[in-house]
Amino acid sequence: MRKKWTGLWFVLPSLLGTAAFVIVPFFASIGYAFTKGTGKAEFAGLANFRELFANDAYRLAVKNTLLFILEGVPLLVILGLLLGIALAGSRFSFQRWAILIPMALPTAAALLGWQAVFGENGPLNRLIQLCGGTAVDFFTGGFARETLAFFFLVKNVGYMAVIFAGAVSSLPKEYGEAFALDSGSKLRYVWHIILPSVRGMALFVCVLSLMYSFQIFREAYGLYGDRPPQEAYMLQHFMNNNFYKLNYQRLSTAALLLVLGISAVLAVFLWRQEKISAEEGI
Amino acid sequence: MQVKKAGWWLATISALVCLLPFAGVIAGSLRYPGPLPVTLEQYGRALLQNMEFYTGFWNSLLNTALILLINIPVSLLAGYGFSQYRFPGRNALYWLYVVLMLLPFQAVVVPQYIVLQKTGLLGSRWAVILPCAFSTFAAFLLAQYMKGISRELLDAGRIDGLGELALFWRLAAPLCRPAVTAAVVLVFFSNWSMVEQPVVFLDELSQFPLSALLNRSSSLFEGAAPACGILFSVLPILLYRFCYDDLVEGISLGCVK
Repeated sequence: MRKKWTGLWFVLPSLLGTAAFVIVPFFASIGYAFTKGTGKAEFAGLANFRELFANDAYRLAVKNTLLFILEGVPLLVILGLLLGIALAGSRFSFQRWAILIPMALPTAAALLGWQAVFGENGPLNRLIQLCGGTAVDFFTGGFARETLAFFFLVKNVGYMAVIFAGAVSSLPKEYGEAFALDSGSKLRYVWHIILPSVRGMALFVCVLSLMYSFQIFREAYGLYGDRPPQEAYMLQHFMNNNFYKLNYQRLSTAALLLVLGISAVLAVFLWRQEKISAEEGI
Repeated sequence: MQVKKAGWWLATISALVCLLPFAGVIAGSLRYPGPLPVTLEQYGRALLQNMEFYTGFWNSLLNTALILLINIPVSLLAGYGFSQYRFPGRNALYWLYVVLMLLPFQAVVVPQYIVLQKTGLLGSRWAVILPCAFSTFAAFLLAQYMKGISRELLDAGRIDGLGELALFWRLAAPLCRPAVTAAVVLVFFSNWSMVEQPVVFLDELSQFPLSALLNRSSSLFEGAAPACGILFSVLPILLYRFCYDDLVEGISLGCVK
């Protein structure tokens, strides 16, 4: 007979490792957020948090990170959805193959490629100059964050599109046929049938996109190292730099806030997903 | 039909844009200052004159292989446990796994640094392998996929007298091949490009994987960085090509409720 705890045994190996390297040390480091001073640490209550919110670098980092997420995630989800719908109905084997390539291409190689394409003497700038404009510095000319958002989009849109294409393909054919009987418009089919059906999936894609948005640090670090342009200075840069300065308390405070923020967002998403599942009777 | 044409345009333009970085680094690898517009000089330098390329590549290969060797079996077991059983605290634990999946490295760098320091692993290969080997992403992906395994099948197995472990190994696991392939590929891609951990946990450049060397220490490669980038991409692209179908199935079905 299945016992109550059998499932936990299966999870145990993973749990042990995760606990050892992430969970337990993280909880142990929460203490840093509430103490002050090197050497003998003394309890400091919420002082670290107050100091953090007053810190200019932190505010800049939070602002840029939120802006990046707002610039990147909705666009990624929408584009992924449209692309997924486009792919679901047709063969398009070249396109399907091509859009997942950015995910397979190692970041280091992709950056070298982007630098070649967007560089000062690259084809894009040459094209701009041919049309009469002046060369644009995509990397340090004030658009760094948008450029990064573009790289983020290209890297992940294929993945999201595949997820959506799967969801759309799994819609029963009867929906399409029944709808076609009433109305010949494919567009209205998309709007009235497909979109509501993928609501749950769209939520999932949002969460996944959020996860990948934090990984943009790899690209940012590869391009700029520790000192990115102002508009691209994000939370991870702030945290990294504090790590190098051995300012563990400030870093732990910021880390704790980040975890709380992510947990809150996730809780909201899960709650919404429960609601949608309940509505759809799953 | 209008909509179909629009779909074609969208898909094709997206495809071409997605190929841009790939094309860019290929083009960049065929140039070298000198008389010829196209030359394999970079590849020559990368393969024949550059020890750093091989050290970096070997580090990437070994680290990624060891991470996969730990992560995949452990995540498969966990995914099975999460999806097929109810135990006290299961939902909370699953939620924790998702939160951990979303966390950027910086949120845990201090605790991990301290753990690695206390266990004496800092500065060794394992400092980079072990924390990544227990990433919860694969467990999540596999759990989502395994939710689709029919209860009836497993119950039939139980009636036939199979123990829980045998059920997992003989019935459930073989059913998950596409998802396991997808997980292997995705975890491979993610760790092949690892950058933050080596920079923080390792001391010597000779220990760095190629992913951490190519952009910030490109002077090591004396102008052959793009060629190194292409060579570095061979394995993941091959993996992509051979596992494409499973990858796509694993990604899309892993998300169907």
